[in-house]
Amino acid sequence: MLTPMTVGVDQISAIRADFPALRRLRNGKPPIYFNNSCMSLRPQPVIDAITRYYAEFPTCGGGRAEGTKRLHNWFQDELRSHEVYAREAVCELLGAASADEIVWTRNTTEALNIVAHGLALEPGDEVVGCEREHNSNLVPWLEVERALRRRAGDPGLVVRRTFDLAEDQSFDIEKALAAITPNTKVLALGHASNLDGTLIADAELKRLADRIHEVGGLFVLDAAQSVPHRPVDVQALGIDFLAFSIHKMCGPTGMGALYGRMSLLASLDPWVVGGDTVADTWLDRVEYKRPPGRFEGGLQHYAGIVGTGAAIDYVTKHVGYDTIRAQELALNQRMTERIAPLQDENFWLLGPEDPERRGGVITMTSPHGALINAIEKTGDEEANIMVRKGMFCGNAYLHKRFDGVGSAANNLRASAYFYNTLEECDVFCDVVERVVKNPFDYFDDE
Amino acid sequence: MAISTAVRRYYAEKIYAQTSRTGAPPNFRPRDDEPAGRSTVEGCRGGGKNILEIRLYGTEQTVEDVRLSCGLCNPAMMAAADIAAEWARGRGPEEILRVDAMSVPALEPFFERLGGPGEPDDAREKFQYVLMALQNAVRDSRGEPAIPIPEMREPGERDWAEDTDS
Repeated sequence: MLTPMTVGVDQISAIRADFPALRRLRNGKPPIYFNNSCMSLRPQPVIDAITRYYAEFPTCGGGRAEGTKRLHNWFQDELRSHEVYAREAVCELLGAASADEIVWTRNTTEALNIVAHGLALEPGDEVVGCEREHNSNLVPWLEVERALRRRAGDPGLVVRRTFDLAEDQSFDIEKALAAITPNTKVLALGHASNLDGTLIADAELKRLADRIHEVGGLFVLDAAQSVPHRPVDVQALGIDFLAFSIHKMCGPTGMGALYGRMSLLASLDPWVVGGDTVADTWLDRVEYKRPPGRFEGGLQHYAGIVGTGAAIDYVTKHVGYDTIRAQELALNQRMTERIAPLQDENFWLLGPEDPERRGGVITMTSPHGALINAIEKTGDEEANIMVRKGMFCGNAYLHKRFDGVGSAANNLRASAYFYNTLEECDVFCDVVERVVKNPFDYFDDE
Repeated sequence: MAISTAVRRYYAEKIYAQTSRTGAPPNFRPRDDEPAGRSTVEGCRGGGKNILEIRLYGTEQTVEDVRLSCGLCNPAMMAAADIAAEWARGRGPEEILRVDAMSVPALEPFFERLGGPGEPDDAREKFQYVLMALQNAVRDSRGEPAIPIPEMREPGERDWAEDTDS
């Protein structure tokens, strides 16, 4: 195991001072926010940027001709400069070739739907994913499968192929490579798992990209759980499409982005069409804008776009990925050291035990909903701890693993981010330890 | 509401202690074959997926097996369901249908299986839910429609004896 880089307590204290939500008190205690895999908190600079849009230039960005750099409209001109800045920030973040390869979306889900529904797959084409994909990288492809089966008149037509994980539930590159066939048109994978934090390594991504390109397919990466935590370079890794959410990296809620290689975006059918997606229309035809405009239907979340630029600056320049990685590892090591020894036949951890392989995520599972409920409720009532309970949109995988041994829904995830502290981990672990060691003292009739 | 001592003890001994990473408690383990009848009941507060499913196996004369599935969230519900499954196994459908789930004396055999002390409210309410669901599973096995299961009120919201005597 690597010795983690230490992040100074003063540094974390200074970072925490940027987050107004962390200054709140309930019953005299601050919040302990461990639901970062779902959505992160926002620092003041992002809140200020969002407010600035509404206070200073609260206008629409629609109605502009393609390629317009400067507008003769005061507010629109200011909005335009922020929008250009934010798109270029995402371009730089992902190592894209051009800001025009960045499409604004509401979230990762919408971005993946744009790809799945825009690729115009044909009966006989296959989509490969692993058994643990998030619903956002499963359901759109199931819908494509349904449409292709209907078109082919074959209810058994194979469209989506699934490969298994390794024994310890980490990613298995050999199984993934073996699942790719000459008929595979899309390899659609989650980069990091929101269930247990396990990651596909860069070298493995590159091998997968090379393999799928050899058979003429495309590599689609659901990077919702990776881009907020580590650098991802789409060109170096050979990624064709990448989707991620800004609201998991200190950005405004309802903001995400899709990266697509320009030649692919240009051939992708737009999914949501209408206002602002078109260069021109006639009564019997439409001429769409070039990407990214053709994919951004209707008026946009302009406050969110402005806040996106501020969020990326905050995460990558003010905090930095090295600090994020080091702090997450330190936090997860602390939680794992304390929680792993509690494992027994009624309580255990999901994924590999080594915290270095799970990012900032530690997920506990039990056949007993009562135990998981008790941890969540006790943590909330005693210490304002916010975690996530349930299936985390990993229903299919959890059903496959646990339906035969009880319920698939009894999981509790604590997901840390750079502003969490070791003291918060200890408070959470104290609760977990007490409940797991004395479960019947905490069960109630709910 | 805190769970009662009787429920706590039953759950600890018969359910928690019989669970492992590879297997749910015996009555909660799924079978691969199709049941003769099935029913569901939402007997736990909180809504969502707090649903107990009862699957019944057997012939027209005898209930041979009962299997349960749910999230194991509510110890009283689990205890009641486990006890009802044990009670129903080997009995005839008519005998199951004859039980008046709203009657205090009818619940006595179930409280006996739960063990003391007392006849706690949390178990009483869940016995009622489970028995009515079990009867619906019998009806389903005969192709008859289920009878809607009324929502029980929180203990203390009504007088239990008054209700059952009416």
